[in-house]
Amino acid sequence: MDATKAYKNRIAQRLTTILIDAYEQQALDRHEISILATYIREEFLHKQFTDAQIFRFVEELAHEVPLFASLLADPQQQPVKNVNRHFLEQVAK
Amino acid sequence: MSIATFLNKWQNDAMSETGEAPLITLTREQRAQLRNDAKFVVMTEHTHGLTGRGVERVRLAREAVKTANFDAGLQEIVESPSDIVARARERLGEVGTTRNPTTHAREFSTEEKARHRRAETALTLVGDFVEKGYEGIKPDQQRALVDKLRSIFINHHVLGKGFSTDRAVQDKEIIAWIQDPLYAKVVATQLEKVNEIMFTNLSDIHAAAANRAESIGRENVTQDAEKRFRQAAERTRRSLRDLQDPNAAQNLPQNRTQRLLQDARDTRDEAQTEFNTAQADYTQVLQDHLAAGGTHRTALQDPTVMQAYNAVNAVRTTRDNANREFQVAQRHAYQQEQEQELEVREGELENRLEQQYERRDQARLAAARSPEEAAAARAAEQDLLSKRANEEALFARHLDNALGVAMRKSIADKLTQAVQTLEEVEPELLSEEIKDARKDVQDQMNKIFTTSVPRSRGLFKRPIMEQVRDQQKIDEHFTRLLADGPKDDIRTILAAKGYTPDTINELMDNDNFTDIIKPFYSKNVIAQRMLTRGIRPAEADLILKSSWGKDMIQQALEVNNEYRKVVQDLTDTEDIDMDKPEFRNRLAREVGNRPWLLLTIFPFLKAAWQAQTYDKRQTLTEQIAA
Repeated sequence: MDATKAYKNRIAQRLTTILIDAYEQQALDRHEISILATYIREEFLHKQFTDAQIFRFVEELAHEVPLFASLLADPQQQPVKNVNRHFLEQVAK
Repeated sequence: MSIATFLNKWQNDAMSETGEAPLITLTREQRAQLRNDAKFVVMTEHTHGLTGRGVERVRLAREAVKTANFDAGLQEIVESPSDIVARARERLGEVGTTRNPTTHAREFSTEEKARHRRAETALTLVGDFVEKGYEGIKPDQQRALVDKLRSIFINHHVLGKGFSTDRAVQDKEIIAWIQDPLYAKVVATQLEKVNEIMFTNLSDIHAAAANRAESIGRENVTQDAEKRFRQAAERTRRSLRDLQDPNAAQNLPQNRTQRLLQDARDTRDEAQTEFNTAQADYTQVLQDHLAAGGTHRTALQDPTVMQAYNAVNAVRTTRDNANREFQVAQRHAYQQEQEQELEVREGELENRLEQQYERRDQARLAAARSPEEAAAARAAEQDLLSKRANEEALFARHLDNALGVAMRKSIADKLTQAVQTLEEVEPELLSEEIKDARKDVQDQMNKIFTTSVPRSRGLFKRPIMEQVRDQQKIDEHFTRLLADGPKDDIRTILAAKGYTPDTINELMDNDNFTDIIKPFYSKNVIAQRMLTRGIRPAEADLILKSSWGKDMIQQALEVNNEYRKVVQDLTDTEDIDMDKPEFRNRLAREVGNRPWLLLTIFPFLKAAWQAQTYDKRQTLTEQIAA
């Protein structure tokens, strides 16, 4: 699995978990959760993204829906490994 | 304007993004009432949790996430209104457990029929409303929906108070609430919750029914076997009794007795025939002798006649003996045979009886627990059926109530939103006049509590006038505050600032002003006293027991959870109620013993303490003013 796919999977896991938690704890209206879940499926899971696009998507989503703000607060979710990978690629050339 | 009218207007205006506008028109009492109403309504309406199918969905979604199938995980928690309605229709199809044993088609019992009808009627309206909205449903459905919700509005804790008695006006208001997009969403959510009511599996019920049938079958078999045994054993015993009867021979088979009798009769008849023949021969010979001129007397000398006569006698004796002997032998043989036969028969019957008892014992042993098992199986099936019936009844009831419950939730949500908006805009509701008056009081207090004293300063001891706290004035105000409360001194201060008596009365009658100025003045006086002489235990006690002191603590508790915690720790109770004399006494006792605890209860006193410590009097003034 390439690094971008792994990164996207990790984000997808966090997004899905946050939404399932919200559903379970009824933090949001179910209708809103349905809309968000559909949006994430169609606009994130079903699309090909670069690392930068993934980060932008998360940034915008967290801005619009504070429920996802923790994604940005957790340093593990920042594309740190992504930066390292580019750096390594450049160094390897 | 009533709360109901306000709320209705507010929700319409909120949609046009001018939600805060009607809030200005509310009086202080109405705002307080709105807050209290909202607390009550929100508390009573928002007490739901995830149940049944919702829990199952979460479980499936989490499992999908574990296997990195995020799409499926999200799909589990996505449900469009049409999906929700379709799912509810599926659930409706599941109502009823009775099936035709031959065709397996559903056959409703009376109760099931009633439940199904109730759920079906409700779902038709709810489903159509969720899918098509108020405008899309038929006029009679619109009518039914409005009528269904009418009692909710009339009896509502908040809306009922100002609800019109005019039916046309009622309809108009109800329709406005129904047409709110929020309501359709809440109805859909409610329907989803109804869908989450789990039904006990039919397969479990059928398995229990089969188990019950089998157990009852075993029980019946056992009962039948016992019955058969009793009958058979009785027959055997009766046969044995008959055999042991002295007249048992009479009970022997008739054909055998008849045959023996027939044999005896044949022998006797044969001997009789011989006797008759000899008798006839003798008669003929005697007739011939008489015909030949002889007499009866001479016949005795006639050898032919005598020979015939002797022949008759001989045959008679033979006949009688043979007959008697045959009959004796025949009877003997018959009795022998009868005894043997009876012996065999008795043995057979005893064996049979023994076998019957053995079989009975085996059957009893094998089916010793059949009745208990059957009872347990019956109870288990009944439990499942009752559970299922309750679930179906719950499904029908919740479906029937979905529109009403959703409306109550919708109203509660609106109330919450209204209160949130109120909290945001309320500070702006204070008029400029009130703000000015507060500033005047503050300025005047600064003047009252400070005085100029001559001091020498610097290397050359230059005489200067230094501003210091006027302890005497502070003591006077503090004493009056403890004795009479803050009201009179505030009036005096306002008068000193040039306010006319009418203006002062108007201000003091305005709760928006007094709510601010009384605590402000009291806090300021207590802080000044804290900075000069400190507060004695008896004074702390008076402060806490005074009505204005109680209000101040109450306000602090309402707005700040930290103070609430401090007070809870001080009094060692979570039941904080400043209206309870016991609680106030306890708090006063604690604080009276340790007046510095006031610092922890009143944040402004803490600021004063710090100001004294670090000599930041100017900062103190600002903090108190804030």
